[in-house]
Amino acid sequence: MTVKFMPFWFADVVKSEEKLSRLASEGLMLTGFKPYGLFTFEHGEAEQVKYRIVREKKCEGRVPKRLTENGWVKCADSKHYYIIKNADKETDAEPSYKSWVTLYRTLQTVMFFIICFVVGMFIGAGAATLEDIATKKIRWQALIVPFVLSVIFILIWRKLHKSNKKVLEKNPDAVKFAFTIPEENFIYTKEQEKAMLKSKEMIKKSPFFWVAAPDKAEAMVEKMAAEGWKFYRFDKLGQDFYFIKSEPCKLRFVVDFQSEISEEYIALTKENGWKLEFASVTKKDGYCIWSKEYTDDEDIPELYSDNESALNHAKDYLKKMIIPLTVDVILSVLLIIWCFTDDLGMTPFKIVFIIFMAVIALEYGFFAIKSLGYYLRLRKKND
Amino acid sequence: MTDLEKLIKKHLPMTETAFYILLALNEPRHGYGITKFVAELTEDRIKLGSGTVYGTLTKMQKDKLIDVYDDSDKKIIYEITDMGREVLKAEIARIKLVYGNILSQEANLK
Repeated sequence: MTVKFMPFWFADVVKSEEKLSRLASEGLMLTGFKPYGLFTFEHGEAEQVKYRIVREKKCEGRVPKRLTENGWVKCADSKHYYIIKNADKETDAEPSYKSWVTLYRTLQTVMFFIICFVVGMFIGAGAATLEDIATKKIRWQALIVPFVLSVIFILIWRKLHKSNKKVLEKNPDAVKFAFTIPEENFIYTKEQEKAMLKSKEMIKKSPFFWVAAPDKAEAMVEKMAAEGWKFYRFDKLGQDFYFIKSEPCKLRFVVDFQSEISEEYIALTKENGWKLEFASVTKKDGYCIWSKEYTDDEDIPELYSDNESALNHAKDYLKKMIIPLTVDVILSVLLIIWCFTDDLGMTPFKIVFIIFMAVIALEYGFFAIKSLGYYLRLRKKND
Repeated sequence: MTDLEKLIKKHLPMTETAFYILLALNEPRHGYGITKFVAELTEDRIKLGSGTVYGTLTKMQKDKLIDVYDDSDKKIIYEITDMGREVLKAEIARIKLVYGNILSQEANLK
C-alpha cells in the first residue's frame, strides 16, 4: 500500500485526475481518499483508465446508476465526493464538471475580498510607516508581511482562475462572462455603441438603486420594449440599462435572486428559451437577469409557473437577503450606541467610526425596507 | 423510522409540480425535456417555468430522490434514484386512494 499526501489536489481537479490516470498506468490503483488530501493506493497491474473526481454535496459516495451502466467503477468516496474510473475513454455518460465551475468561482470571489483586505492592510501599514519615518522611528519591516501576503494571495487567485478556465473548457455550454455579462451579449463594438448613443439610436437609463425594487425595473424594461426600445445590455456593474431602437415587441424581463448561482441553474433556464442578460457572479448569493420575447398568442413567460413555487422563492429571498440586511443594521446601531456609552470620551478615530457605522446603517436600512416592499408585492401577486 | 419512511413523510402529499417532475424522471431527461414531457402529458395544462423546475430539482437532489450527470454532449441529465422511485410509488398509492374516495362520493355531490 502506498499513501500520497496531496493537500492542494482540489486547486486543479483536472490535473489531479490526470495524475491518478498516470499513476494507474504505472500500476498504482487508487483505493481510498480523504478530502483533506490523503490518497491511498494498492499495487496492481498497470491499466489505462480515465479518472473523474466528482464533487456533489452530501452524495455519500452514491454514484448515479447511468454512470455505472456506462462502465464507471467507484474507487473511493467521502461525504461530498466520489472518485470513479472508466477504461472506455469515449463513454456516453460522464459526471459533470459544473459543480467545480461553481466552486472555483466562489473561491475566486473569496480570494478577491481577502486580497482587497490585505492590500488595505498594506496601504494602512504603509501610511503608518510614513508616520514613523516622520517621527524618526523607521519601521519599513512592517511592510514585509502584508506585501508577501498580497503576493501569495494573488498567486492563489491566479491558480484558481487557471483551474476555472480548464474546467470551463471541459464544459462547452458554460457561460463565458465578460465580468458579469455573457460575452455573446456584446453585439456591437465600443465604437459602434458610442456612435449609436450619439445618433440616439441607443439610449441609456440609470434608475437609482433599482436592485431594491426589481419589479419596477422589470416593468420599465417591458414598457420600453412595447414602445420600440428593446433592451440591449447592462453595464458591467448592472446599474445602467442600454436600449436600442427597434420594432415594438413583447418582452418578459425578470430579475431572479438565487442563493447560489450554479452552472446548472443557468443551463436549465437557457434551455427553456431565456436569454441571460446579467449575472452577479461576483457574489455567491446574487441575482440573474433574464429576458424572453413572446408573441400575442403566447402566455406571458414566467420563471416560476405556479404560485406555490413563486411564493417559496419569495420566502427564500426574505430569508437570504432581507434578514441578513436587518441584522447588519441592528449590529451597526448597537456599535454606535456602544461608542456613546463607554467612558473613554470622543476621539477622532471614534467619530470616523461612528460616521462610518451610521452610513452603513442608513444604506442597509434603506435597502432592507425597499426589499421588504418588494417581498410584500411578490407575496400579494402570488397569494 | 427508516430514511425512506422519513422521506415519504416529508414529501407526501406532493405538489402537482413536484409529482409531475418526479414522474418525468422515471426516464433520464434534460431539464427542458422535463418541461416538454409534462406539457405533452397534461396536454399543455401544466407549463413548468424553469425556475420552478430548478428549485424542485435542487430540493430533490438534496434529498437524494434524483441523480445528476452529463451525457456525451456534456448536457446535464437528471434521473430518479431507487429512493425517489419508492417515494413516487407511495404518492401514486395515495392519489389512488383519493381517486377511489372521489368515485365513491361523486354521485352524492349535488
